Amino acid sequence: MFEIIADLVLMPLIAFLFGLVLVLMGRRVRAKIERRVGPPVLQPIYDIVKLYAKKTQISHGLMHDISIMMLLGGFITSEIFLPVPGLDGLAGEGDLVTLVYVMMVPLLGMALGVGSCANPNGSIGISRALTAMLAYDVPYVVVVAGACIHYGTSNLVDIVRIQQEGGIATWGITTMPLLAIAGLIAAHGMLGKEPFEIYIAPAEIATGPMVEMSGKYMGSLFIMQCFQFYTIGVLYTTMFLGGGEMWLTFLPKVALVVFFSLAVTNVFGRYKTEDVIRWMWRWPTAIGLVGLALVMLDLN
Amino acid sequence: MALFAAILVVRSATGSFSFEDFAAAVPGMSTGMKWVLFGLFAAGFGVKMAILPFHLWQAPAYSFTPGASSAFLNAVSARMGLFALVLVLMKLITPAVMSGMDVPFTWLSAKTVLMWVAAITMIVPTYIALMQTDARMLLAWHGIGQGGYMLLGILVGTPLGVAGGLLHTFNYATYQMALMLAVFAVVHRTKTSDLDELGGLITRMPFTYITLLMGIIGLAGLPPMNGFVSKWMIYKSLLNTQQPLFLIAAFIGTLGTILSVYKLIHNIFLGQLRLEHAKVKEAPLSMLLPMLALAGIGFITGYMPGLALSLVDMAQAAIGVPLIEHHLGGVYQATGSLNMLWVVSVLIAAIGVGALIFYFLGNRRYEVSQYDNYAGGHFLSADIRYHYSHEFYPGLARVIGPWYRGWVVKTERGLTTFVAVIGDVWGGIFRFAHTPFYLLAAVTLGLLWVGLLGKI
Repeated sequence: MFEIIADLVLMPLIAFLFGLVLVLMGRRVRAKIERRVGPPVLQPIYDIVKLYAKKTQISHGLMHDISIMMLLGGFITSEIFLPVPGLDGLAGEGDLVTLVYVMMVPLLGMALGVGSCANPNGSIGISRALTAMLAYDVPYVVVVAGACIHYGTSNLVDIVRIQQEGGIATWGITTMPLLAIAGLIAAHGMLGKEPFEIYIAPAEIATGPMVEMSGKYMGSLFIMQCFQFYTIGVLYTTMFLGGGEMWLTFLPKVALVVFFSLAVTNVFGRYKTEDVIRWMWRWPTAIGLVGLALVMLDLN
Repeated sequence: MALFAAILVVRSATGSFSFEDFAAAVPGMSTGMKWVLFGLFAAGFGVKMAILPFHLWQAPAYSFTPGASSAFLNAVSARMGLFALVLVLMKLITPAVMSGMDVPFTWLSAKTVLMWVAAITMIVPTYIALMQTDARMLLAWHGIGQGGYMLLGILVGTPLGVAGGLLHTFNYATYQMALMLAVFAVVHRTKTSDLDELGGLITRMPFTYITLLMGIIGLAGLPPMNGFVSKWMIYKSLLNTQQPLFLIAAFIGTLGTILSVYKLIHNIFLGQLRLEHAKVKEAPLSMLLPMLALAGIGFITGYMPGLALSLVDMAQAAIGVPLIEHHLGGVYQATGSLNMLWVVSVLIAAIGVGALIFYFLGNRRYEVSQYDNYAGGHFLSADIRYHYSHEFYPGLARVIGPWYRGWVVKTERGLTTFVAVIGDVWGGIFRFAHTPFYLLAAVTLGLLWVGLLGKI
């Protein structure tokens, strides 16, 4: 009992703290590419504190507030169902499919909150965000299906155990390289970075969903971003990079996944909405389907 | 006609109308005979169930019926075809026999053909729903799409899959009914269900909004509502039987559902409130109570799916499928379990933590009117209509629009014309030319046939 309570508290907390590191990494990487020094180490925390402490905290009604709670709640729940070294949390009570769905709760929350703000730019942003979700989730589900069938289970604890018992030769990235590539692209789409950041699009729709978010609403979105980086990094590591045997090797692997995304994002412009769909449904999906076919052949 | 023919064939093959005799005779039938029966039954009940390509009648027929009866038709009556299909395909013809009926020159069998039909029924009507501009039509098209999930789950044939399909029928009835009632409450107050003419009603009809929100979470199949549990079981059964393509198809259907239901709730309840709706009242208590109760059932059976699974057990026992192991919170499987008690409790607790962070940290919030918004260099005021509702997904429409306008609409027209021509031809023969003669000939031939069969 005590162990479960410790898991429930520790897992989201670690996620948030390491998420801060990942956010800092993102900003430092961008600064290096642009030949700047970049922000100080504690800048992500300063930002959140500043936004929470602002005097102007504009709310557009109860749904706007609840959406922020759904955002945070959805990600906190995701952390508890994602096994990390030494902490399995409740990963045995729900599986990979459950996790895929729980991770949609924050997006739904954000969509409802932004909609209730009654700003057309926000609505356009959500329309684009959901369209982007439809685009990147197709390769993503191909990857999830392939991984579940390859490991013969959708229990995340078992998926990690299988990879750790067999060493690098049984890691997802060596046994199903094509699915790993498709998964990496889908993960990048999920992070909503260029070239797939159609729903932020500052020059077109004034940052879309964030347009009516001020003060601690924006601060909560910052917190959400920490969780988002961490969750997607951990999920990919769990499926393809052997999960976590110890924190010292686990966290660099998570950072590596996020780093790939951050490195790619800074050298791209933005696609049009329909091009995002076409691109996602064409290349990563095709790679994923070939990977899936190989997994099925392997089984037979 | 197809059903009548099927029943006649059964009668001539077994000499009886009873289920037992039919079930006993199936293994001894020739392959051709099995195909004839399978085709006739699937087509006959498929029309009732509105699986593709027999789906065109259902959405317009069910959505423009008045209020509560439309809700009943959509949520309960639409699934009667499934009941008959389950009875015939699972109990009488049995999945094992269907798997053995190979389609020549392909790797398909009768079972996989029907599964693909179910998969297409999940996807195509869902994306047609996405294109609708009328709330009732949107929900009715989703009803057709959801039928695909049930049929797919049942056709997987494993106890988990069948339980998932049957549970989805129950869950669908709860959330679809709640959704239809909520939409009709809106129609009752605003006199329109046109998604382009509503908006911002969340402040005027908050309880209707809550019902619709819970309903769409169920329809989209997200936790914590019950729709998630049954979809999870169907997905899990597909993974266990290693059929990833159906899983992907089901998931694509789900994604389309999420997009489409967000459009529904956004265009009715979120965004700008129109001036003419500024004084709209909440729906009367007699409308609110039933729909909130249904949404409540949806939540409780999502939190404790064991309650509904006990009902499913009875249905499964009746069609002779082994029962699944389940407990109050969900299902145990060696390859990954689901315990909704934990999932929902943690989700609610986490949202509570989110609330604590939000309310107790940082400065105080204050509420503003929606007309305090600022966009693109202008203050927005009540006389400017800026609710973003028409063509809600333009990017997607540009990608799938040509397909939709191309083969979906053309196929629809083709089917309609085909049925119309056949109807005209038969109507012409029957009504206008020598009616008594044709009737006499048909009766004579029928009697001859029955007589000859009786001799053989």
